[in-house]
Formats: sequence, C-alpha cells, structure tokens
Amino acid sequence: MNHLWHKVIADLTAHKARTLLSISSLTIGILIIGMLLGMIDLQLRHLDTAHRQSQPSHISLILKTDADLAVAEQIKSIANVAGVDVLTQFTARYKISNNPDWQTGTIVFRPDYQNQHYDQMPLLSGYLPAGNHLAAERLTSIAAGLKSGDKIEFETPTGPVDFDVDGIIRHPFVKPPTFGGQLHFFIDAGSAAKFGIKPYSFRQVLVQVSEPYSEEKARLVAGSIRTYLSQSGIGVNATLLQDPEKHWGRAFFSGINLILTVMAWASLALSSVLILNTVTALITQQTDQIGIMKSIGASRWTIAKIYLAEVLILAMLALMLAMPISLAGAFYSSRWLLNLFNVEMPGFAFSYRAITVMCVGGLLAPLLASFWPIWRGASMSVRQAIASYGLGSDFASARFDMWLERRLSIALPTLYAVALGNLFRRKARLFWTQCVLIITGVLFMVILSLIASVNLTLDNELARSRYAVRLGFSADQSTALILEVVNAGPQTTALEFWQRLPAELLHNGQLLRQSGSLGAQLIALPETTQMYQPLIAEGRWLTDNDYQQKNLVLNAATAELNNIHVGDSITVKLFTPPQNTVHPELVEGRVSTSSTRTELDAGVTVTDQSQDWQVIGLYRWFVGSTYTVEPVYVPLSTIENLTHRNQVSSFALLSANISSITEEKQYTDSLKQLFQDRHIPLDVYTTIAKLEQRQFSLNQFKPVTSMLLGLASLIAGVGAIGLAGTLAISVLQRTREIGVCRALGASSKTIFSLFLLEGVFHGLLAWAISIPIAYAVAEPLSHKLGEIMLGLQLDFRFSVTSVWLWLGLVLLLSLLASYWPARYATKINVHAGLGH
Amino acid sequence: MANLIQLNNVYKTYTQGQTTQTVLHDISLTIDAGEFVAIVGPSGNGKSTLLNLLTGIDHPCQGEITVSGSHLHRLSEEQLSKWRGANVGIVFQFFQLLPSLSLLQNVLLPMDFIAKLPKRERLERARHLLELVGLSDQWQQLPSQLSGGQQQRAAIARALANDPQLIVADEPTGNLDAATADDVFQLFLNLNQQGKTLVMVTHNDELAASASRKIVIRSGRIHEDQPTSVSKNAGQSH
Repeated sequence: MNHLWHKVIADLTAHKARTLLSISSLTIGILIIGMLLGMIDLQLRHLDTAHRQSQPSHISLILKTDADLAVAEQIKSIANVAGVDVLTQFTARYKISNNPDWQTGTIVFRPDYQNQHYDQMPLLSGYLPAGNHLAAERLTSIAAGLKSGDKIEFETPTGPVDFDVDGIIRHPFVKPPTFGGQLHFFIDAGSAAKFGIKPYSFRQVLVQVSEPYSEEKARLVAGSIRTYLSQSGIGVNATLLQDPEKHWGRAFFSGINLILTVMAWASLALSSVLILNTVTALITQQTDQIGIMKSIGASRWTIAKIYLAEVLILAMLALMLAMPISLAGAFYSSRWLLNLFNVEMPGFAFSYRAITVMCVGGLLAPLLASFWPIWRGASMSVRQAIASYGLGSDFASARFDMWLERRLSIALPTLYAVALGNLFRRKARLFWTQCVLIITGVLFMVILSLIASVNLTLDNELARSRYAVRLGFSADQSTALILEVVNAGPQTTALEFWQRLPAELLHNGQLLRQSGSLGAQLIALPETTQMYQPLIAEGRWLTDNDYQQKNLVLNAATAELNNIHVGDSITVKLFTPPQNTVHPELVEGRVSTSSTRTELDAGVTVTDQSQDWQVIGLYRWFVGSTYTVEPVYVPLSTIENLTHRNQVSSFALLSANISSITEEKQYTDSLKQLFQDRHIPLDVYTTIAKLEQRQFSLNQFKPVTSMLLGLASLIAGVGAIGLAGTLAISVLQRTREIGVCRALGASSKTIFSLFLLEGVFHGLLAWAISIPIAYAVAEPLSHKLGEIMLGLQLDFRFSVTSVWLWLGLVLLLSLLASYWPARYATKINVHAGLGH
Repeated sequence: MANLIQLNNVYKTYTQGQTTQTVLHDISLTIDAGEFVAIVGPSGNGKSTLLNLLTGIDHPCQGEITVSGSHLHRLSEEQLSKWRGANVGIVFQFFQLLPSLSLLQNVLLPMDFIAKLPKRERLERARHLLELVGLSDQWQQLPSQLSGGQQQRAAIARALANDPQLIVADEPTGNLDAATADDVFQLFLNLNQQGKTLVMVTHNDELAASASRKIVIRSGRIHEDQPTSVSKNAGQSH
C-alpha cells in the first residue's frame, strides 16, 4: 500500500477546494455534536454537584407569618424529620450609589451563618455579615456591579440606614436579575432588628427527612408539618419539595438536552451525508483511474482502501480542528448557562463522553456514509470504468430527464434550461444536497414558528389578564385602606380585590399531587371578575351563579395527574386566621415593630375547615410546573362566607390607560411609593406589572431560542458548504463541456451564470419543498418543544415571515456557495477543457 | 511455439436501449507465444472489442477464450483483475497514467497490486524499466509534465512491470506524431524481439506491416489473417 498513499495524499492535495469544503463540513458536524454533548454532560454534572454541595433541604416551607425557634424545635420532633434549619427572607427598598431611585430587593437573614445546615449559602469572598456590614449575593453583585467596600442605603421602619458591602455569598435558589429576579443581600441578627425582624423568629423552615429519602416520604412529612403549623396558627404560603440528588433546574436542562441530543446526531449525520456526496462525485470523477488500476491488477478491496483512506484522513483533520473548538465551546456555553442558575464552574472542564463520541462518531460516520459509493465504484468492471460515451452521457437516459429536457427547451431560455437540466443530472447528489438544505429550511421555519407561538401565547395570556398591575401584599390588608392609597395615586380605571389562602386539597381521601412545584393555594376572586380569565380547557369559568357556591376551577394538568374531571368533588381544607382579623400592625396604618405573633398566640383559635367542593372547570396553566405556586380559583363570596374575613385583600388588581412599558413602570413605581409611604409592605414575588412580566418571560425563552437559532445557522452553514461542494464537483466533471462551450463561443459571463443559476435553482427547489414540510411539522414540533423546553402549552402560530426570510437566506447561501465554483469555471479555457 | 491465445467461436453483442448490436461474429483464432500480431480494419468494426476480450475487459456472449492457459470466460471480475496484473500488460491510446502519481510510482503500482516481487526489488525494477524506455531522468515527474511520447513510453514501462508474457496495445501511437510513433513502435519491436507476445490494434498500415502477422477485422469478422512480409522474409531467411 506504500505507493498508494501517494495517490491518497495527491488526491487530497490536488483539489484543495474540495478537500477544504469536505473538512469544513465534517468539522461543523463533529463540532456540533461534541459541543452539545459536552454541554449536556457539563451542565448536568455541575448542576447536581452544586446542588448536593449546598445540602439541599427536602422540604422548604415559606410561612405566612413569623414563627419563633420553639416552633422549629417542635418541628424537629415530628416523625421522620432528620433536621431543621431556619431563615427569613423579606423585601426592603434600597439605593446604591449608581442609582438614585429606591429599588426593591430581598434581604436574607440566617441566625447562624457559620453553622448552616441546609440550603447552605457559602461565603465566596470577603466577610460574613456583621453589624452594618452585609454581604451581597453573587448574581446580585454581578448585576449591580457591587464589590466589597461599596455602600448601600436601606429603608427601615426607623429611617434610612447605610450598610457596607463586605462579602459575597452564593444563594442556591435565586432567579437571575435578567429574568425578573430581585437583588439579594445578607444581614446578621443585629441588622435584622433594624428592619423590625425579631432575632429569634423566622419565616422559612428548611427540613430534611430521615434516610432513606423518598418523595412520598417528603410529601407526607410536609403534610404533617403543615398540619402542626396550622394548629399553631401559622399559615404556609408555599411548600417546596427538592430532590436531594438533582438540582431544581434540571427539568429545564433535561428538556433542552433531549432536543440538543437529537440535533447533535442529526448534524453529524448531515455532515456525513455531504461527505457521501463528495465521495460519490470523486469516484465518478476518477472512474477511469479506477478502471486503469483494475486493468493493471488492483483488486476491489485495494481500490476501496484508497478512497476509504482519503475519507479517514479528511475525518481526522476535521476532528483535529473540531475538538479544541467544541471543548472550549461546551465549557464557555455551559458556564454561561449555569451562571443563570447561580452555579459556578471553577475551572476548565470537559466531557469524556463528548470526546469519545467525537472520535468514534467523527471517524466512523463519514466512513460508514461513504462506504457504499466507494464499494460500488471499486466493484465497477474495467469496461464500465473506462468506457466513455462522450459529453452528457449521464443525462437524458431516463424518461424523467427526457421529459424535463423537452419541457425546459420550450419553456425557458437556453441558459436557464441548461442550468435547470444540470440540476437533475446527478440525482443522488441532488437528493443529498437537497436533504441538507430542506432540513435546514424546515428547522429554521419551525424555530421561528416556535418564537411566534411563544409571542402569541404570551399575548393571549396578557389579553386574558386585563389588569395593568397586580399588587401582592406581604400580609392581608384592609380593602378600605388599599382603596384610600390607590385613590391618592395616578389614575386607575378599575380596581379588584382578591384573597389568597393556603389550603390542602384531597380527592378520595388522598392529598392531591400538584403539577406546581410549590404546591397549590386558593385564589378567591369576584365571580364576575373583569380582570382575569384563564384559558378554560374543560367545563367553565366562574359566573355570578357561583355566588357563595363551593365551586372551584382547577389546573387541568393537576386534574389529569389525579384523574379528576369536571363535576367531581374534592375536599378542601382551609387554614385561616379567625374572623375579621386583619394584620394588627395595619389597624392604624402604621407598622409596629412588635410582632403580631404574641397576639395570635394568646388564646386565638385558627379555623380549620374541611369541606367538599365541586370542580366546575379546568384551566390551562400558562407557566406550567416551574418554581411557582399553583392557583385554584374559587368565588370570593364563598371564602368570605366561610372564613368571615370580609373587606380584606391579599392582592389588588389595577387597570389603567397604559400603552408602553415605560408608562407602566412609572405607574407601578408611583403605586409602590405610595404604599411604601403608608408602610404597607408589598410582596415582591407576587407584585407584577403585566408588560414587564411579559418581557421577563421572553428573556427566559431567549437562551433556548437563541441556541436553537444558532444551531440552525450552523446547519445552514453545512448546507451551504454542501451546495458549494456539489457545484465545485459539477464544474470539475463538466470541464470538457465547458471547453466545448468555450469553443462554440460562450463568454465567461455565460459560463459564470450557468453555474450560479444552478446553485440558485438548488436553493429555490429546497425552499419550495421545505415549505409544506415545515407547515406540516411546525405545529406538533412547536407544541412538543414548548412543553419540553419551556414548560408551556403553546398557542400555535406558523410564522409566514419565516418563509420569506428563509427564501432570502437560502438565496444568499446559494449565491455565496455558487460564487467560487462559478468563478473557477470561467477560468477553464478551450485548451484546458478539451484536453481534460 | 505453444498457443498463448486461443479464441473459439466467440461472439460479442452489445445492447443499448432497444438496440442490439453484434460486434463480433464467430471469431476463432490462435496466437502463439512470441508472435507480433497487428489487428487492423475500419473504425467501429470490432478491433478494440477483440482486444478487450483478450484482456478480460470484455466478456464474450458466446464461445471460449483461453489466454496463458486461463479460461477467461470462466473468471469473475475480481479474478480477471488479478490475472491481468500478473499476465498482461496493457498500453492504451491515451496513455492512462494516474495523473497524481510520478512516473516511478505509476510503474510501481502494478507491482504493488500483484506483489510478485519482494518489496526491496520493486524499486530497482521500476528504475530499470524507465531506463529501458529512456525515461530514467524523468522518474520524479508527473504525467502532465511530459510529452505524449514520453507518457506512452512510461505506459509501456508500466505494462512491463510484472514481466507479463503478453503485451496488448490499443492504438498506442494514435495520439502521437509520426516521429514519436516510430520511436514507440521501435520499443514494441524490441520487446517482441525479447520474446514478448504483442497484440496491437492500429490504423497505421506501415506499422501494421512491421508486425509478423496481420489480422483484418471487417464487420466483426476476421476478413484476413496472414503473415506479413516481414514474417515471410524472416521465414525465408530462416
């Protein structure tokens, strides 16, 4: 085989453009698969490692009111509770030096930073909070540009207080600021008192269950704890269950990773298909050489080895190029994505699986793809190989070709007819080149349709929400007081009051499994609400006939989980403070630093009502099962009747004449200021401005859709390379024809146009074929992608714009891909052409 | 002299679309070892087809072909490749050297395929063959860097690589000018004098007259098969 290596190397170096195109195409395929698999492995590995390192709580309960450490001790004694930790998170307004406006942030207070048990928040740099020295959360410090030594002014009940930033702490459970997350700060007990927080109180309980862990055990323990708390007069706003081994963000990544895995293998397959194209053309071009070698004694296998060796060398070169880029790409992409979840990657890391797949797949896939054309070429007889029937012998031998030629010669000018006829000459090559372009087009249109569907879904959801702002109060407020404050503010056109109550839901005696990860709560709203109606999947929404009726509207996904249908009855266990109780601190419209806990403890009973309610409707929940509390909608009149808590409100929904996000911000800030001035704390997590929320939602989808678009672009690159390769080979194969054309008087412009047109026809054909395919698959794919990647039930819209965008893009790609081959063709003169 | 080539009642037919064309009708002939046979006749009458049958490039539709003791009509394509490499040297009208290999590598190629000689002897033989055809100084050059005559001489060297008994040439001087054609033809004569059996298709009557035997093919049949004057003179002088 020694001297045949010379042929192998000579073949690769003789046609540098073809070799480069092949390597580029393979490199992209290997790069994509290496990068995507690398990202999948790095993300999941680091996510779960960071999660485990934080000693995650199995159960986290966010309380409605403060509790003291004695309650924590009692919780420890509940069966199957292995340990308890506590913390408090509350909102406060702050100013930093580079922004004169008051902003709302979250302050975290832990009794003992040195001995944190669960959901550990480690100190990354600087010092733990002490006195007027606080620590900033890691993402916060990045978003706000804070560093040690910076000053922050906080608004406290006794007036503004300055703090110094002295440390950076990582919180394992924060929403990125770009997704609407608040900035977080950490303080110690001394500072907590300045905000009216009692040193030995807490608002959040973190619990681990005893070994062995199971989700079922955690649910049962959570139920026991909630029961105990309710008996102690402490309501629970939300319950979060965490898997100790798997990060809470895993669902987001798992969904994406499934799609990425499919795309990764598809891109490698597409690159290999292009190699098949190239090899087929190479074999065709070297048919006479194969014949010569056979005539002087070469066996089929010897000839096959020559071309397989060429493919192997191309693959190895592509692998050498792709490997470092993909490893780097996987690392930096993973680091960026993980950073959104506040997970740091300490140093460069890579995935062995990705390397293995790149090596094996990157070498094997092209060899497998090219084996059949190579073997077929090598199996040719000498007769077949050497026999030549002159020019154009590969066309007009089949009926389709003859039909096409007749039609084209009538319908089109000669130049176009020749170009279009050339398109169909090598049908296998046409097929494979079209496959890549069509797949790219379909992918492109599906992704844009997915984006259009996300926008439509958001718009539809916004249309169902007719309020501009929803204010959530940290504690229930008097409606009269709210009205008084609102009336003092900017023009509000409508106002509604809703209540929020924790509850347990049972069906056939069993606790409902919620699709919401933070559990469920009752949202009591006027039966004839003008502010909101969710998308009803089955049954109906509330009407005035539901006045004081025990009727509820449930999340359709939860209903499916529990085999509940419209008309079924479920037991609702309410946990409410006694009648006519509003937050004592607010009776005089002032915040009192004394805790309400004492008054509640002193002989006050808590209502615990279990009653059967009827399911009258099921709604489709917009946000799915991400980190949210699932609403169960009930008539406000019924709740007021049962709890005897009238004229109190957990939410105020306001509508106003707002036409832009800027106007909305001004309106919302004015309201916040008014409530702040009256010392009525707003709950930052349930206070939302509609347009701003839409923007935050879009921001969350952007990483996913950007990634998909990026991948589609890479695949489009593969398609363009494939097309360039196809045309380059076409030029080489028709060198003699070009020589003849030149001899007959064809100008360089004519030759150039011939090949350029052929490329453009390729693009147009792919465009035309991809439209009906994209239209057929866009809806089911968008639904699936929306579900898997975004956790949404999407309303579908096919993006017609994408059809025209794809036309422009494919024409551009075709022109770019055709330019150099067409230019090369113009350099072939009569002598060179006829001597070929 | 023993029969090297024997054809018995050979027919060859081609089918293209609806058309069937019989190119060779009932060809029977024998060629002895050491003969120099020129096959002549008008274009399209079956000369090249006959040559292809002798080398196993084409298969007869009917009849038997035996060359160097091998029944070619019974061999598979793979077997024919191996047989050709070991037993026949083919020289084409258009030289058909591999364009990406140097002259030396082109000559080495058949030796690598058949591996008759040990590796260490192949290079030496290749150089010797190039010297034989007067191309020892051009061993490194690519075919595209040489004239037609030089390429054809290199092709002859390649045909001799495995020291075959039979050399088959299809219009070997058809693409050469007269002077170069003479040089090349002289090479063939030398080879024949060294004992090689030569079968050559040519349009050139002068060259055909220099062979020892002339077979005229017309309409796919042997129209004439006679010794040439050269042979007669050699016979007479003998």
